[in-house]
Amino acid sequence: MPEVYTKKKPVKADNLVETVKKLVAEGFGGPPWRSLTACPPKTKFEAQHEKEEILLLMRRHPITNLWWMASIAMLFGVPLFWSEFPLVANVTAPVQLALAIFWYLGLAFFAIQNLLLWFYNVYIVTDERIIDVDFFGLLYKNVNATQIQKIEDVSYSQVGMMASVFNFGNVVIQTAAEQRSDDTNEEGSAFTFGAVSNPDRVVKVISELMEQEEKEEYEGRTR
Amino acid sequence: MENLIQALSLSLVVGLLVKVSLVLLTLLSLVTVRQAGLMDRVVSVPIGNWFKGIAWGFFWTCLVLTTGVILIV
Repeated sequence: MPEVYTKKKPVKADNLVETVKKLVAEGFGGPPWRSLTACPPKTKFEAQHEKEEILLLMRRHPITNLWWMASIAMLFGVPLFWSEFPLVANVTAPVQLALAIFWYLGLAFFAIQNLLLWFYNVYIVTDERIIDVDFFGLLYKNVNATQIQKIEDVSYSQVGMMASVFNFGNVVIQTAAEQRSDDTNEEGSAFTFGAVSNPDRVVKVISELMEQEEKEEYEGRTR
Repeated sequence: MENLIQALSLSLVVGLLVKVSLVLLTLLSLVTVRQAGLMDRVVSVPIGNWFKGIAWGFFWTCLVLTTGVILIV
């Protein structure tokens, strides 16, 4: 008997390139809060087309959060010692308490900001496009999108000991037209996926998508 | 004028600065709530509500503590 009602929306196997299938089989198809997720469930993005499917969802490797976590851990103990400072030692106890409250709320704010920026600065590869979502600070966002057929070259680099140990690196995608973007000053291209885990796999997926796109274009021309 | 200068103590000045800073931090936390909502709209993931919950929790904590500091200290 054919299944009329299915709980899960079946993934369209035609659109999936080989590497994505392998990633899903290896357990990268899990929840979308990981550094690299293949076919993330229940995930959407702004301006997503109706039949567009997310193949990869990436963000910076969690180890890149170490600097702000270490800073918070060090700054956490400062109120224990600040009675040594003459300016703080000379104020009354209630003011010292208020100062401590402000200090810890400030640290919490810093942590929440960094957590939000890490989580929502994502790179998306769909079966049609690649999207680079960048948030800078509180009030500024930059979203770059380009179609797969406009990609000219894709490469990755792993620099430093941490990148080698934890297997993360920058994936730089060059497009046919020069992409003018605010974040190109610091990055190699408007489409630079910074510190993503398994950059070799990401490059492979994008390359396969480019091949698939070329093939479709060629078949369309000869038909 | 002299009475005013005599009444100004280090605790009073520091206390006032802390209160103003706490009010500013509460406003920033409100901006964070809005920001979390906007970010979730750009990229919608199942865990997004959890982040919005954190932002709201931080805002209410800031508001309660700031009110307490302003009233008590």
